[in-house]
Amino acid sequence: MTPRFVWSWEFLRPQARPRSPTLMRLGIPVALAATIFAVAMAWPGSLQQAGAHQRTNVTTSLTARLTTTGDPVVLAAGDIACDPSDASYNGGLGTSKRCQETWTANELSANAPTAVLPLGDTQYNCGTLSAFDASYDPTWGQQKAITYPVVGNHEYATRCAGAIKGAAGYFTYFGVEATPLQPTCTAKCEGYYSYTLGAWHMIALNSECTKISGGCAAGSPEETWLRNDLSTDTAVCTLAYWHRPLFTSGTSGGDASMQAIFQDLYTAHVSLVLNGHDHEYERFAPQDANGNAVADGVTEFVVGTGGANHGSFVTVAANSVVRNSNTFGVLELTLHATSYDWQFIPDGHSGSFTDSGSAACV
Amino acid sequence: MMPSRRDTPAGPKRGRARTRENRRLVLLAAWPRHLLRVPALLCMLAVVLFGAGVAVARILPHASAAPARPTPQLIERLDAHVDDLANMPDFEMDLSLSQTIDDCGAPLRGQFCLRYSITNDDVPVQAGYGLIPASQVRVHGSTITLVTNTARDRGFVHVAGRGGLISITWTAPRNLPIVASRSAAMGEITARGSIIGTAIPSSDVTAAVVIHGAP
Repeated sequence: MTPRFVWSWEFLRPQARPRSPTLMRLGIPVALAATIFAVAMAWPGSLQQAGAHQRTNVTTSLTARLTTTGDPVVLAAGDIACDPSDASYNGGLGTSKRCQETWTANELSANAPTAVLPLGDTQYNCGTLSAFDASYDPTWGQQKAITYPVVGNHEYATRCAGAIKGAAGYFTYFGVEATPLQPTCTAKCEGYYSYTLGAWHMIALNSECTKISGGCAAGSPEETWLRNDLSTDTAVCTLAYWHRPLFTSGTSGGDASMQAIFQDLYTAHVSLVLNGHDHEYERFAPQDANGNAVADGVTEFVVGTGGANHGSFVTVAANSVVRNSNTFGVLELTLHATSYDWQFIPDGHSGSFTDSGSAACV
Repeated sequence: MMPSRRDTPAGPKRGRARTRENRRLVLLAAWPRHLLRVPALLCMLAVVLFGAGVAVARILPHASAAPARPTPQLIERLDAHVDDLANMPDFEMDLSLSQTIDDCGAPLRGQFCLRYSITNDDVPVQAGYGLIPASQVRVHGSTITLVTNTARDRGFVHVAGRGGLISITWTAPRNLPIVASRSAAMGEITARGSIIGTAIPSSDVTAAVVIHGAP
């Protein structure tokens, strides 16, 4: 065989040796013509893809319970109140590394927020109503009137005495505020909803995908509701929050079940995502749902620092910018019309870590 | 003397025949250099056209509505989460794999980044991460199987514990999604098996797979 056939095989390989000058001479005009044709074919699709990122101008959703003057200030954290039976509960004062819900709650009252966002696992170990009443209520519960919660895995746990399936303790304690789309529901509720806070659109989601009807995949009731909600979202800035992060350096490794929802948020130009579950603080660079760093991506914060205990990092996830696992505290967000400021406020008891900055909405 | 049949008329005829044969031989020897160039060039042109098509398709995958070859499917995410183990309410198990997201701090190059942890009250009992060969993750129909021993992998980083055998089979309710280039699809699936000696329970497991069409 002549070497030419060898060259042709090499041409098909991704890491081919240098091609024959003859082939190059023949191939360049052909490739050029094919490229022009391909660009022409791809052009309408490119326009369609770009259009998907543009907002539709339709309606708004629920309005926040409190009217605000000036830019709203939001305080958020997850993984909060220890069970009163916990060995480290210590009458609600906790120990140096556990059960610090009293100290983080003090930061809520000290900073006078417009809204409080508990990011799931609000009450350990199983979120029973009695535990809520004994531990969460005297601490974070003091802000209940301005609280917009999301549910976590521990509220669904049933291995504690008195635990009732379907996060009954959580939905009973928070009532309609935890699932406003089902005002009379007290167990096995969907637990997702949206509202307006100042100029921002806020979306609370349920990431316990095995506990809600249809899961979280594309086409599920929650994902379909989200897409509809986003299609009527006229706000320049949108924040979404739920319990289990998609991206994390923590022990959970991220929850792939939330990928379709994250994709919807990215497509709709949502600026911020807040999560808990991993018991540390982590901030990511803007990224898309596939983990690619992109300027118009979603900025994710993991704020599992509400007081229960500290977690640890297994690795450093792609696009992770800031991490801390030894300071309890809350994330403060000041929501401007087209931008936001963030600051991690340490509880002043466990550590002094902080992180702050500003960014424009995408 | 009459010429014998051996010497007469056949001589010149044979001589002409030999001349024709010689000409044919000459032609056969000389023509291929010219004639065979045409099919060779045609073959080369076909090869170049095919090669250019492949190259363009790689650069602009959206150019063709019906690609000649199916897009390679990569596993963007594959995970299993257990929050509530029987008789061990404070234990949690988490494992995740990715062929596209580099959470292991090293270029993937077709390998998988594997992360796992078993925690007791958020304290890691077993935890680690590292790259594993693609051959340790097998996809067949609607199932994906992972069999690896992190204790034997020198490149594996053990954050807690010494690692060990991980054997998990994920099963999708239907065949795994086929996705176009540069897009992704997520599906919720079931997971069975064990992570370093701890069995994944039959209930209260969260697991999902995200398939990504390679660019």
